[in-house]
Amino acid sequence: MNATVASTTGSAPDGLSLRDVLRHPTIAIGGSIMLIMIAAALLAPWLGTVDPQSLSGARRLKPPSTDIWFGGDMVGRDVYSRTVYGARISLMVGLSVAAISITIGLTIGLLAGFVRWVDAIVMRVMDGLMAIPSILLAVALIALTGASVANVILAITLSEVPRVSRLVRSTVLSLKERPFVEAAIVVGTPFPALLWRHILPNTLAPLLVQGSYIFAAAVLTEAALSFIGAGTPPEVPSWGNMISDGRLVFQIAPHLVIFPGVALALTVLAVNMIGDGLRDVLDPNFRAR
Amino acid sequence: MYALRRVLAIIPVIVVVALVVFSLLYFSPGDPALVLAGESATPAEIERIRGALGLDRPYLVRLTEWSFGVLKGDFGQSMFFGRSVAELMLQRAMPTLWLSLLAMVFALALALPLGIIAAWQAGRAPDRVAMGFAVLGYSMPVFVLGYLLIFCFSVWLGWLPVQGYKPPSDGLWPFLSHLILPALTLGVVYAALIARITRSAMLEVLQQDYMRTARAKGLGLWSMLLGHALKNAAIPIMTIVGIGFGSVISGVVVTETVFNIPGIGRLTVDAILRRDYPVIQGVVLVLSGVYVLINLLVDLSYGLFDPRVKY
Amino acid sequence: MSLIQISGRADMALLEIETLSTAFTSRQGEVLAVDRLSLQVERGETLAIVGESGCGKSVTALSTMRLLPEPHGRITGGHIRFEGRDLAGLSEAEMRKVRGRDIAMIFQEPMTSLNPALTIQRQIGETVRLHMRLNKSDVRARSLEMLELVQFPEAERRLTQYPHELSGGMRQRVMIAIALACDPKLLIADEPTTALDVTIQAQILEILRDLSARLGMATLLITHDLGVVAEMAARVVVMYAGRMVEQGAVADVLRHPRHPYTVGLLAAVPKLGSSLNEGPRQSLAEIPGTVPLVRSAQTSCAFAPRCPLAVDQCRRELPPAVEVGPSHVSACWRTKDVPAMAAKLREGAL
Repeated sequence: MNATVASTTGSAPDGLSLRDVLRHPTIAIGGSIMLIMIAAALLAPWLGTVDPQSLSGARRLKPPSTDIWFGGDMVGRDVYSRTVYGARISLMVGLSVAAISITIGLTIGLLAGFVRWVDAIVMRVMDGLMAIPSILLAVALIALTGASVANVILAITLSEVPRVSRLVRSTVLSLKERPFVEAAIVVGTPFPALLWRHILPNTLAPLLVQGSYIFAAAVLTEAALSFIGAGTPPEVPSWGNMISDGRLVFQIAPHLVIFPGVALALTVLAVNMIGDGLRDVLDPNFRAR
Repeated sequence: MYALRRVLAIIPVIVVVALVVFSLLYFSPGDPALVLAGESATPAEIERIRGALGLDRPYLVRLTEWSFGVLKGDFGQSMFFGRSVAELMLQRAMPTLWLSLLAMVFALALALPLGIIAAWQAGRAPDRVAMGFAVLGYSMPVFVLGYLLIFCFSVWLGWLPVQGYKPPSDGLWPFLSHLILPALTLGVVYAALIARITRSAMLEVLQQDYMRTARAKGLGLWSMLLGHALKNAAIPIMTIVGIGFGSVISGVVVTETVFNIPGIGRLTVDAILRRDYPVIQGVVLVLSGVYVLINLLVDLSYGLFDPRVKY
Repeated sequence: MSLIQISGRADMALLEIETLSTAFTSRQGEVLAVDRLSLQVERGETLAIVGESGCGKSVTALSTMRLLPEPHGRITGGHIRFEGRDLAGLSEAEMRKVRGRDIAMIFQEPMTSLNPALTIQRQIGETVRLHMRLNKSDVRARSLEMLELVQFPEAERRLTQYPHELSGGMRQRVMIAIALACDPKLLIADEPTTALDVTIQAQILEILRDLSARLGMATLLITHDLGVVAEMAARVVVMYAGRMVEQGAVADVLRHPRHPYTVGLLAAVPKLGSSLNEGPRQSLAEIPGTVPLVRSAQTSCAFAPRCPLAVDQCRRELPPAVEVGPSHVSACWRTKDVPAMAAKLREGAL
């Protein structure tokens, strides 16, 4: 008897356990790749790397070999070490952009969803910001402020905030129509309690999904910005910078582009897979039928 | 009414874009007067040039002047090329236009069949393969994909030129052969986006009662999918075509660098490297305008697909 | 040659469903929606299938058209012979030639059964163009003719309209026009009036009855409404839990039901001015329980748990269909006791 009850609640979306989430195939695969990337970023100095900035004439443009795993670049830096250290930049940018833009976007979205005059003004500004393609907005800002990792994070965040606030705003507006929220408002639930008990828990799922997509987009945008010379400063070992450096000689030394490129694509793929999986698990409307 | 409302709705958007873009120039660290005056100029000379250019006047005055200038097509002077920004952009417009057009054709030609087949075969192997490609497609950095394609088709197989651009006046094949790889590079990301939406929109339509009616009439698979379902799925698809065009614009900047195409994107990168703020400003403004305009056209096209949309 | 002879035989029914079983795979496992059902529809005849929702009547209709939602629903056994040809064994391509031309179907929901993005003309004309290979102007003429046939006001002007510009009744007329456009030999109407207002219902039924008589077309009418059955059909099949429980001429079955379930269904029909005055009574009108989910071929009477006449035998053995009158069949172990039960029920004694 107990067993049947447990099994029926286990399949319900609200009875979702962490184990169900981790068992989802795309989350499992994406999560494993991400774990490797995170480990590489954290443990970079102990993974057989050398100083990513150190130059060595012997390594100059050397192809990959058992000695120099990923080869050397045109000024003699070790591509393997730079690729491993590059994970730090990409993951930091992705995580920071996702966290900051969700925090700011959530605040703006909640305000817009509950305060009418904020809605009118702020959402116009958000629409305007969304009309500027994200790379261009970032390029404009970085041109203004100068290249640094912090500025790159700031610039990408600015183009993601409107998307988050829109999502939160529309979630709040539709939640306000739902009977249980209407009832809570009618009986005079204090606003903080309303927010904490009814609104936030229901925005969490879509934000989690959106957050992983923002993570992926931020990693891509950082790399693209660095590639066109408007991203992290050239001496920073980021994947975008490495590809940018390598592009002039890529016909004779393709490994300069291939290794950071594969690492970049793999990371973005992993995060997108986690996002897809989460969407699958968390939102019954999107479930494969 | 709908059309008018939609057209009016883009005005605040344009205003915000213009404000952001103007502020960029206003607050930019470089002093155009300094650049124009040259290295040996005295402070008095620089001050004179500042006055002549109107750089010493307040924010709002300059904003108004600048806005009127933009409305007349005057985007200011490039600090590096010594030409007007408008002239520069016009000169670089054609390669970018061709590139994005061909990319769009590739994207639709790839995405629609993929999305439709995935929806029809939902949950089965073709669906999984198609959606796997889609995730791969939009996880792939444009420039990495670009170099991969160059490596395969130009360096290894030698079928296509490595880089560069030839205008259509040089003949159809030289023109196309230079454009195929960049357009494919740019189209893949866009295609991945469209294919996903096509699948989910079609999936929803395929479950509607009227699709059962269509089957009960004895229609074949393709007339059901294309004749009956696609038109009903068109609005979400068109919407993502519009929104996704933002990724094409962003992609143009990168793709033109990879393939060395002298278009607007390449101009942007050159301007960034030289801190040529007026050019950056003009490009951001014009491309954002194009983006807004395309999305307006998409919104206005809804009536073509859904007779219930009233203008 | 021999095929034509067979199909031309006068004594063969137009549609002959024989021990049809249809199963669905759902989250709860496999469900048998139709369990060894047999019935015949003669040329030009209107046969009604009646039963509660979930009894398998719509699934029978969809099985006949081979329109089961794949891959969850599938025919697991039996034959569906149409003019001697077994539809259950046809390929999808062969079946496409049958649908819309030999057998047409109209559905319950006129509001959602028409494609919102296509004009009325396109939706009617498409069937004609597909099966009759007419040229463009003939297609238009035929579409117009069909709209006039279903008494569509201002047909000419409305050809270019879209479904959202029409009312529910008008949309159902368009559905009928589409269905009849290629002169089908059999029309399957699945609850054609359930979603409509009472007055519109009457009009649509009138059109259906009139047209099937004029065109000499057989109709398989699926309904839960015994009033509709009485008005439209010559013969009726009563279904319960995927099986035929009673069938016969409408007059016989409705007036002298020989299955307890039919009695219950009849008692559930509100009789004008009667039920309110007679005071509370315990009747089959509130047949306790619901239609059970059938998972595998039944080995006892599925109605037994709800049946006031049920005895041990009902719970052990599947009742065979027995002749209880001229072409009147009932699948019940206690057919002999049903008339007495019905009489008691009428007196309010049960």
